[in-house]
Amino acid sequence: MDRFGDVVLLLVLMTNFAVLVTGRLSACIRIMTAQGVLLAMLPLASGARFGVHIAVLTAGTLAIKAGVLPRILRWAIREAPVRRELAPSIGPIGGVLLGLAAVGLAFGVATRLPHAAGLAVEGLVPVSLASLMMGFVVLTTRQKALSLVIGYLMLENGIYVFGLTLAGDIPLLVELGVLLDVFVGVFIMGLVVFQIQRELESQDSRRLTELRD
Amino acid sequence: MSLILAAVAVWLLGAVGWALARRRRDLAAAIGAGAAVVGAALGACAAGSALSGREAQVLSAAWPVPFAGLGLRLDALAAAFLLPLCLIGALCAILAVPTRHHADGGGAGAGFAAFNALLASMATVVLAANLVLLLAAWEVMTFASYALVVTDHDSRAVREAGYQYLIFSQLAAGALLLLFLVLAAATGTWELAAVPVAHARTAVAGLFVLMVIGFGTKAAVVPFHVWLPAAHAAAPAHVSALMSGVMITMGFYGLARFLPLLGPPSPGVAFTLIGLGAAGALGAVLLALLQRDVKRVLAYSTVENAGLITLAMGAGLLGQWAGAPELAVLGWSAALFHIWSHSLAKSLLFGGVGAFAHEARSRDLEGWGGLLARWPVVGGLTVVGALAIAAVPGLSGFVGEWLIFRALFAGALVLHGVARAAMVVGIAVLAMTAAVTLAGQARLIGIGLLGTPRREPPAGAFRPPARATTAPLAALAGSCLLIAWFPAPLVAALAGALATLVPGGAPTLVVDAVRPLGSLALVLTGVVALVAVLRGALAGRGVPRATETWGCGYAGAPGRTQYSASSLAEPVRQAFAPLLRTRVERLGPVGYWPAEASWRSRTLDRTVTGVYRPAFGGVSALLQRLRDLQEPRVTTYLRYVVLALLVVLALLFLPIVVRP
Repeated sequence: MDRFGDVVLLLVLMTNFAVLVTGRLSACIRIMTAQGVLLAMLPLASGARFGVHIAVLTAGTLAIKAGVLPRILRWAIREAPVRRELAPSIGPIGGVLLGLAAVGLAFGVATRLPHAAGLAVEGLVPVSLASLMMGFVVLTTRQKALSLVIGYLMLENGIYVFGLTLAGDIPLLVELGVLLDVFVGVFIMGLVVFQIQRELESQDSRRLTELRD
Repeated sequence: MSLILAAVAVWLLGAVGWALARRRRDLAAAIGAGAAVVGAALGACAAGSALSGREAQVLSAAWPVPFAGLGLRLDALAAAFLLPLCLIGALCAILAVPTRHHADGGGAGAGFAAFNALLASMATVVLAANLVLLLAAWEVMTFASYALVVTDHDSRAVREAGYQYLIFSQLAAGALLLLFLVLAAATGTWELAAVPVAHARTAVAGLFVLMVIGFGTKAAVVPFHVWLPAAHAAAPAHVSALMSGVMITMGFYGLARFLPLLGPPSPGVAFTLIGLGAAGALGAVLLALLQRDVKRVLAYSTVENAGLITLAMGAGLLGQWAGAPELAVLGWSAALFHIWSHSLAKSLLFGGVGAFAHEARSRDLEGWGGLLARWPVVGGLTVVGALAIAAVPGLSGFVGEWLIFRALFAGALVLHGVARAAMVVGIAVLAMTAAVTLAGQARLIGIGLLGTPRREPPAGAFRPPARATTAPLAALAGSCLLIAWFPAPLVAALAGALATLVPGGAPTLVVDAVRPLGSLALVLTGVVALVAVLRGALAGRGVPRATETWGCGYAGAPGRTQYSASSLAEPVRQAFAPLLRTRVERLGPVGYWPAEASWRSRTLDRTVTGVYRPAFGGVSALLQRLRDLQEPRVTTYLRYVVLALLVVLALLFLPIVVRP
């Protein structure tokens, strides 16, 4: 199963890079849907014994990360007339370079982190750190509120992958709680994006300056 | 032990009981004051039996709070602080009752809730045998007293005073937290150790600094006294009385309990305490003389007395270090005795002056005058308090200061070198302080209560005082007289507390030293009583005749032409001008027909202008610079988050991180 896990993790990394080079929001959402599917496969590959725990986790991840969240995001772009990230502070080339730096740093750091012995898939920790940092790259370089939601989702997915290193130990309820947490977070963000759009007639998060104290 | 537990329980019940009677002020006041008095009576019984008992009473119970245990210990030292707490606490609660209908009086239900919580927390501070419990009780004490200080929170000055008090208290609590952590790490237990642990020299210095900041702030040790004048001026009278009389002694309790834990006394600790005490006493007494606000006069007088107590403690420690048992016993006895006498006299004075200030609707001494004639009973009792604070022979303050003098003289005789010089300087400072205190109290009484009114008090003021005002003041004045008449029994009763501070210290020396003072006080009281009786008898003979007093040839001079409080203080102010740096603005009089003239002086506390204002200003400027980091873009903040994350990750590459 090791090989299978590694392939899935590699694909997760690829989807992250895909987001970094994509400007169209609908394409980003499609990529995130694919990432959700990939993440749902990870519990199967994580080496834990297949049982109710893993089955529920896989089903829950699939439903929320590949089903509900993309639907909310698509609803948000349908309501708000924004199709593209127009003014990223760095272009696709810069984004890829930053992403590569993030991956390098993540693999460097991962060897120095004390982690639980006997991980079935070696790549879980570095990939989770890389996803986290690439999520931050999206969060810090893009302006549209919906792009920020996608960056946040990437960041959350990184944390989710990290959580899988402990999949055998964490009670199911906690995992489901985390999933639900992300769902609620994105749901609220979707509403906020909608509200920003309605109030400011724009989705540009730079215009939130008007809220400074 | 069960008695004191019952006392704390009654106080806590009183703290919540007011909720039953929020709308009915009479009932709320009755519940609040009743709980305070009943609890105090129970506590006084417990403290009285513990004061004479040889064995400490211990209670320890498991408690589901992390690190904390419900460890209580009532020994002689705790009892020595608990007894004044109960006595003054009960009397101050009664003093609060007549103010229950005033918004600013603190006698309503919520005020009593905080008051009872304050009593319970102070008792717990004294009893706690567990550091976490002690810290928790200490914080409750701070917050309860803060709530009492801001009773009149409609006023901006009151809110600012409360805020200042809170800031200083929290700085002190931070020092205490650090102190307790270090002590717990050294002993390996959160129990309050009874025996000292060996610390390195530098650790002793650090711990001592933390103690002075932590406990000294509450005890009004200079330069951590800054909150006190503002808070005392802002608080209602009975609260100032309790805070000044009892709450500052909690700081001294902390010092007395924790200083022995540093191990054998070191000269550095002793000299620091002597220096802080002497500087504080002299500085504060001068400032007390120059205040216009009557309650600030008393507050600075409290700082002065705190300085004297600190000085006495330092002398006691110096005696222990130098192997001079006489000095050690005299110094610590003087500190304990002066804590008692100051507590009683200052509560009396705050109660009396506060009652006058409330009736006159003004705390400005320059506007008072002739108040003794309006309220002779309260005024007479206030004069007793002022005389006791001024250490006039025949009253309690004299015995305390006499003991400090005795200690310093004993030290000057047996010590050598720097230690002897410190004792001599202490004697000089004490003499000067005593003289200026007398001037300050003469100013307060002479300007405020005697003479003729400078300003008419508002209509309806100075109705005959309630019995709930006069009775507690009379009880306090009686206590001041009582311990002046019989100082020897009190010193003997404090022997147990002394023994915990000075191992093997016997109070026979001190008993012998104060016995003649008791006789002196009895004789003086007798003479005063005799003169009063004779005067009454003789004055009753003739027919009273109201006439003008001699007015330097001016007939019908108005009240405003009297000596003012500032003019009375002016000679002393000029003598100490280089120390005080008073700002004086004067205008005229010019020419042969001067039209207009004014004179105004303002003396600020130099620890405020010299230390705290620049320090807080610097911190504020630094923080202002941090504000520049605040940028109005979400992505900027996210970049800060990334930076923080990268810094944390970079730490992994440093060799300092321990890896499994």
